[in-house]
Amino acid sequence: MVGNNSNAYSYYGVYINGDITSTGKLTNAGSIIVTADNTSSTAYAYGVYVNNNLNGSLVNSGTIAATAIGPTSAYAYGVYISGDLNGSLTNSGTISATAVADTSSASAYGAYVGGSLNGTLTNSGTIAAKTNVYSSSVGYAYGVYVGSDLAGSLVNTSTGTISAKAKNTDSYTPYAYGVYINSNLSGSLTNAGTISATATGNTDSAYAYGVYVGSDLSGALTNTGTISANATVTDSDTAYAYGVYANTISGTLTNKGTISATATNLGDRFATGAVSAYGIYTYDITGTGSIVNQGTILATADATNNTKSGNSAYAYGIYNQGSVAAGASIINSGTIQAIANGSGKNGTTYGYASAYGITVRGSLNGVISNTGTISAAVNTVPFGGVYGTVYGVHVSGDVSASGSIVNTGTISAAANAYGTSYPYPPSWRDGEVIC
Amino acid sequence: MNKSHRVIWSAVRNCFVVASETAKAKGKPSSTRKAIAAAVAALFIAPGMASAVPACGNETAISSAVGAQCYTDQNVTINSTGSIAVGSGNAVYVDAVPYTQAFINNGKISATSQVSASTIYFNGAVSGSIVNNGTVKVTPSKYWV
Repeated sequence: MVGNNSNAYSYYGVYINGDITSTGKLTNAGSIIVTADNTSSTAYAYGVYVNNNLNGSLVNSGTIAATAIGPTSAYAYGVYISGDLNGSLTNSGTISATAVADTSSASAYGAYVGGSLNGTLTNSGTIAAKTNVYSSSVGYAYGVYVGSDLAGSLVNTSTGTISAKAKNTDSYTPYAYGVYINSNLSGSLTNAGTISATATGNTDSAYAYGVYVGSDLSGALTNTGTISANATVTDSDTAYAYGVYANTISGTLTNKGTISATATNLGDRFATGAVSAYGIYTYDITGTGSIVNQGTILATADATNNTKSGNSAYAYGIYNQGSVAAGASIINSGTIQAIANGSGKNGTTYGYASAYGITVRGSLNGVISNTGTISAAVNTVPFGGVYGTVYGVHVSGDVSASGSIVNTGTISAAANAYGTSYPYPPSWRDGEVIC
Repeated sequence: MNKSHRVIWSAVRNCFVVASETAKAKGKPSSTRKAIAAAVAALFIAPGMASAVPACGNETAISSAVGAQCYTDQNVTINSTGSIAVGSGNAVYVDAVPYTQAFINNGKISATSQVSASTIYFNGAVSGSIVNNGTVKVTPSKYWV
């Protein structure tokens, strides 16, 4: 047995069975390469393993790579901190984790913090996580994983890349998260580089999140770089892509760069196939929370390869599932664009396509302000049949006395059909355009 | 060999271990007790890893190819011409809680194992420094089933 891990197939580059204390420092300018494979059971690979808190510093300017290849399950961690990160983790080199599983699940974490990130994590290099699952099981890829709160700061500089790629070649679900925060973002997350998540599924769902905040974004998330999420299913069913996902927002989400979400269905197997792309997704904007866009937010959903009746594509620039509080706001002076491409076939099958620049599914008690450009478009393939719904700005609930929509910019919505028109079934309506 | 044994807490292994009936259960660990604990601990590690915990106090400046090493709270330097390689278990075992010194690798440290392995294993917190300028590599033995 090595360390406290009771699993017999765990491989570690550097194992520290306790804290890195406030005076402690681990520096890697060379190579730490760990490979776990050809075992008969679950394989674990850890580049650097800290079996408690990181109170001092961990600096990587070299390479830390962990690869786990399991005949059943596989887990790979570039840097693993079981407790809190109270000190600093600085990467200007490469930290990577790759997990490949034949018959069960695979999980890969570039940098894993089991507890809270109270200190600083700064990346000016590459942090990458990748999974590949060849069976009917789940794959999880996390560029940076925080098991509890991000109360300190996470900075991805202009040269930094944080990426997560999850791929399943069989029938279950890949999940990819560029940055995953399990609970609250009460500190700051600043991205000037690239954060990306790519999930590729086959006959089941695929989920991709550029940045995921599981509870409240009460601090500040500022993007001047690129945050992207791409979810693709190669043979139908569902794909979900979220540029930024935050359960609630009571702090500030500011975008001066690009946030994009793309969901694509490449297959034609299931009539129920649905793809959904969300530039920014939240349930509620509470208190004085705000979404401020001075850059570009793009959401693209494409189901044009699915000609089965009932397939659908949904694109949302900003999606608010609940309400916007009286003191909260969505302010756009940049560009928000949502595009949904639907499909259908020669008047015999019909798909659905919906595009929303901004949608608030509950009450608007705060402010939506636009001095920039908000556009939404629904497109069909030539000779296709699509029931299209397109909105520039959409509020499902009430706009209360304290709520307002102020536009001095441009809001546009377009439904575009190509080729010969075929009559929809009587119970269907033509695509409506409301702005 | 002792015919009766007792179970004592081992700070070295961070667990209970079976030891000589003469081993003390409390008090500051002596070098003898550490040696006993390390020896007993070796009985509990996986097959093929019995050589993973050698007697501590190995050469602290390494410039050639050597096998598994064990250190206490010592400064250690593996020079660019030095290498530590093991066929199973830990290549380097640092038995210090905490480790307050400087561990510097400019060479190559590698472990190949059928089961679990660490190239560099610190048995407690680190208050000093660990610097890797060389290569640290873990490779599993092939075709373990």
